[in-house]
Amino acid sequence: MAKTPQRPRKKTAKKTAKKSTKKSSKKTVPKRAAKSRPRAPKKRAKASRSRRRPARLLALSFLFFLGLGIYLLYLDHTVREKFEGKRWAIPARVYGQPLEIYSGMAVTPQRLEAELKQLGYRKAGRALKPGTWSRHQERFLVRTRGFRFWDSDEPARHLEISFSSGRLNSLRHVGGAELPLMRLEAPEIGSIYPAHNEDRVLVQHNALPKQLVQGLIATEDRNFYQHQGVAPRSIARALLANLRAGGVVQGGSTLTQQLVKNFYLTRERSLWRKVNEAAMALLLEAHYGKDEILEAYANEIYLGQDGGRAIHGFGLAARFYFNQGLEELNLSRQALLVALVRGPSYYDPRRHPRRAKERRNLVLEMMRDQGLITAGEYKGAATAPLGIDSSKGRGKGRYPAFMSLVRRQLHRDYREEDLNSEGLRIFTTLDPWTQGRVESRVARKLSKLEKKHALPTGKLESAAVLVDSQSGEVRALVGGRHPGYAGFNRALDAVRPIGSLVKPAVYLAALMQPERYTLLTPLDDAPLTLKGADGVLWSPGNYDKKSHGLVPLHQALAKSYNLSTVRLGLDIGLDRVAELLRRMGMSRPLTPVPAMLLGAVSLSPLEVAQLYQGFAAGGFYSPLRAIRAVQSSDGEPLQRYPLTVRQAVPAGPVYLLNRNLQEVTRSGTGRGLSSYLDKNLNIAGKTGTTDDLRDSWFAGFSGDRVAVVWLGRDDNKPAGLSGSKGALQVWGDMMGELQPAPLELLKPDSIETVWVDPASGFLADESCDEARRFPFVEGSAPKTRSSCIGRGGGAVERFFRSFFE
Amino acid sequence: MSEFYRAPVWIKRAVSLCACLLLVGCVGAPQKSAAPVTESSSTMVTTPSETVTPAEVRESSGVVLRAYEPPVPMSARPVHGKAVASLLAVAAQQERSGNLQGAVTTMERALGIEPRNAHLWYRLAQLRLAQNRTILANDLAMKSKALAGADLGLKRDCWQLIAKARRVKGDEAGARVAERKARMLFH
Repeated sequence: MAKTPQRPRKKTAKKTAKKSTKKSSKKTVPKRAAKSRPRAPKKRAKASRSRRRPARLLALSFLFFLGLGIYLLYLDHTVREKFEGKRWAIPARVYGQPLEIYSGMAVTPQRLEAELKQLGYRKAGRALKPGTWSRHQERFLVRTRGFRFWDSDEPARHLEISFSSGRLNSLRHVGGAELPLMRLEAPEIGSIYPAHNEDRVLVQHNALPKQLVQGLIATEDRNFYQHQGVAPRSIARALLANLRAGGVVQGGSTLTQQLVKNFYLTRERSLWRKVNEAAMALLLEAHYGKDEILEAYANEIYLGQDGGRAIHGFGLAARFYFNQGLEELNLSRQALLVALVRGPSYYDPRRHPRRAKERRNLVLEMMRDQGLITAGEYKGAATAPLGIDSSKGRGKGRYPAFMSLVRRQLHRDYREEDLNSEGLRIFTTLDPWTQGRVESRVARKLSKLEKKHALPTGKLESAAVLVDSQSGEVRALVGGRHPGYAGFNRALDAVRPIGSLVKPAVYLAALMQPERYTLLTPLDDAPLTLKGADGVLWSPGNYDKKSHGLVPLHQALAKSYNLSTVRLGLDIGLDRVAELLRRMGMSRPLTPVPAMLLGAVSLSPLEVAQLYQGFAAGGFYSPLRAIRAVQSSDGEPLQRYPLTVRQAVPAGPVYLLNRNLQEVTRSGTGRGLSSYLDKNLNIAGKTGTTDDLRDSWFAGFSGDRVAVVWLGRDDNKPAGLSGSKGALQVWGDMMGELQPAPLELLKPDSIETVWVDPASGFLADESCDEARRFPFVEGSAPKTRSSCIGRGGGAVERFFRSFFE
Repeated sequence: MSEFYRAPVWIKRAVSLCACLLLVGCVGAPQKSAAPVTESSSTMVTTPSETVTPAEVRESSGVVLRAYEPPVPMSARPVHGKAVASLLAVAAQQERSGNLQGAVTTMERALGIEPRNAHLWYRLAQLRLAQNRTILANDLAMKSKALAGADLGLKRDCWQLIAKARRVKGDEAGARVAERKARMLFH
């Protein structure tokens, strides 16, 4: 014991300290044994050569104490280094979009309630503490918590919020002035924790609730404030109890020892580890105060498991179990956290509520017996329900699809180890309220569609992307039918042929040449056969297997005719179409083949959203963003992802296209939308279907949102749904829930509106019977005059007609 | 946001007005069929084989509006809500104290509330120009201009800002074009 283990032991300890994992030390144990054996005989041989015994003994004991001294110094160094340095890898916390509150905003009381609930606010008779609210019919009193945003601090406030007829009509300080606007805290939507899966939220010592500390000390280490790190009497007591029981029934460790065990050592149970633990506990106490040790303990302690994620520290446990801040927990909840210290899985309140309650009440009992709480407090707390939050504390599982998008964007700028260890605060664009609605609608509609069309149950998969139309911020992302599972993320990775969703790009490319194409240009929808570069013949057909002769351009798009589209695309040139797609933000290499015109372009739903966002924003391209800003753990701004725009396409042609896309939902392939959404919303959109009904798409936009829905099967077998029978239905159902703003297109200066006789395509005026007004890029309106011009109507009639202009 | 929600009421009024006028206008209108008049410049020789079925906006009254485009609501100078007005004030304060980045962030927040308010885009463009980010300033001013609608004053301001941005970038010819466009908006 004296000499041999010294050097190798150091090695072990070093390794343990470095990695602090269980495995590494286990591996090193046999190594030590193997190494020490061959050395021992050598030393013995040396010793035997020595003639004088006392001198040898002296030398040996000198060496022993020297070794011990060095070892203690080493232990001391280890203890201090880790304790004073960065103690933990602090995972990045990821936040969603905060709710802006201002008078006049279109928000319902239900939405406000849902938002408050999501943030863990509790409804009370009277809102007295931060994080509580009360409601008196249309009037809310809310005590907000403060929050540090990426741009400014939002102080804690006491607010009065009133609604009338579904609108927020007043926002003011209670008993004070009106407030122009404020925002609730950004909801936490996830964290990025290290590979060893320890997640924690750091809590400072002075933020630890007093009763939590008292309860902890009462149950785990009554003499915490008296002992020097070890308590020999409790060890003896525990030893006796264990001998009597013939096994380990009681622990005699102090809180300091428990901390040392978790912090520096392994879970291995050996006498040597116990000795180390005691030595380090003594050293720790010698260097640091009780408060510091308690703070470290409160942050280190393991308190639960969420799938692969280990819940460490009281700060995170409070959120994980109660969806509340630690400082907001009442006595019974604090006691439950203390109860969990003994065995987070055995007393897991979600799986074993009875055990958890018994243990919690035992903690409360001990607190009462030690005079820490009154009998009344005990009674109140012991009869309280566990109060567990059902949402699992907004853990990793909530938004896996969106989180993977966030990670991908972050990885362009950050290393993984910075993300999971520096305690970064990441502000994203996700709107959890919208996300929740989209998720549930998609799942519900999928089952309905399977039933309605007698499709095999559970085979249909889906992805949905919802984007803010002007800024390109991603508000919701659904990666599959079961959004809680972190599996294949179809919104990002299902790269599928987009079918007719590509057609708007073809038509836009045409409308960008106003001297050649207008909305009324007749297109030939006659059959055609093309010979590819490889000599293979290609004969596209229309969805209804018919040819429609000559059709005006707007109708060809509205009805999604294939033949006229192919002819149009070939006429303007495949390169032009491909170039337009690139300008609108497509980064994927495109092969300019004729089949591209009918959607032999494979894109992910997110990429499609990028394309349609460009249309919705009037030809302005803004890269889709999931992140707004990144902040260091102490609130310093590290990075911003600003709002940028670039005019990719002139406004005039995009305006014509968007009018045409409105026709799609009004009278074209997308008219089924009217069973979900009011026609006056004037939604613009396009359906897409691929060969054998493998993929069903719908992409479109309202005044405020762009949304893309894809349906199909993972095995790429026919899903059995066209764009309008499948994806459109999901799209409509989902948007109907979100109260979209009507799409009001602003007419660019370059657009003029002209009376045209649609039958002939000739210039007309208001006196012509069938004439209608169509928008044209200036100078591209027909010049051939219809014979009806100027014939009709007297001055009075014209006067009245002029009101239409 | 507020402008979106005001619209339906306006549309309803506009539609009912149009419907009445249309009925009045139709009384006694002579029946005429559109016959093509040949004109030398015309390249169109064939008439479409199929009758065009133009999109129609049918109201409950059964009256058909004869415009391909749905009625466009008036877009006059944007009226800032209280929330946006207060953010504009904050941004101005930040700008005065030299905190351009802060002002940019504040304007982005304002745009989150009123994304189609052209004036906010213009303010953002101004700030970006002050930061010497000329390309972005140019693009933001283009965006503002696209949303400016009938606000000719704002459109002129946008062109002037674009001219400035182009000049800083070294694009003298482009700057002159922009200035000319700004001048054209004076009358």
